[in-house]
Amino acid sequence: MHLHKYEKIWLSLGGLALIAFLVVLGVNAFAMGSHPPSHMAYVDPTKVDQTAPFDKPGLVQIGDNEYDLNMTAFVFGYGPAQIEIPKGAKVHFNVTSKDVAHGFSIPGTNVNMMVLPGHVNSVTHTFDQAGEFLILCNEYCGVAHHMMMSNIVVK
Amino acid sequence: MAREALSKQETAPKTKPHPPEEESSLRGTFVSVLILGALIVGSWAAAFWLYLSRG
Repeated sequence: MHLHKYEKIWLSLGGLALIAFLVVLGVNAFAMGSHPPSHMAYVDPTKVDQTAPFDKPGLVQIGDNEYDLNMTAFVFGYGPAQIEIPKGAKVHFNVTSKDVAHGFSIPGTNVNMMVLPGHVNSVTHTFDQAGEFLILCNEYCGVAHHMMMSNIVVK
Repeated sequence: MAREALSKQETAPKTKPHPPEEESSLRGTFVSVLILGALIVGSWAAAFWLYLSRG
């Protein structure tokens, strides 16, 4: 099959771009640990308040400046509503819903996931800068959806 | 009538042979492909940079 010289060039460029994207994807998934927030962890949505660790939502230290932050989402808020995190802390968010599907988004960071009843969704973020961060719901969950928020203070 | 005329036209021997493919210029297409490719790679790189900077 005859190919024009230019066709060979742009096909090669396309092939190289595809390889580059796949390499970046592989490095992200296997070396940097990127993964979807859902990881086959389940909880009975009718017994969230009685099930550990969601019976006492909050920050739990698990290492040197490393924490688990267990949170619940409900109409129309998050538990706990105010969280203090030390600067530089690596925080593993574990969030579940007590009722309907909610969102869990911290603007200015890569934290952005759905929170579903019956599932525990997780995401990890390192808070390198001091300041206040807002947790927002970005899945419409009812009449006061726009009021649903929580605060993180990093200091 | 019209069909006969058309089939005659189709079967008529071609007096002018097709020009060899090397003569077709793809320079404009090539430049368009490069511009489109640069746009795609540029937007992907910008989004990926945003992702890394927020990590």
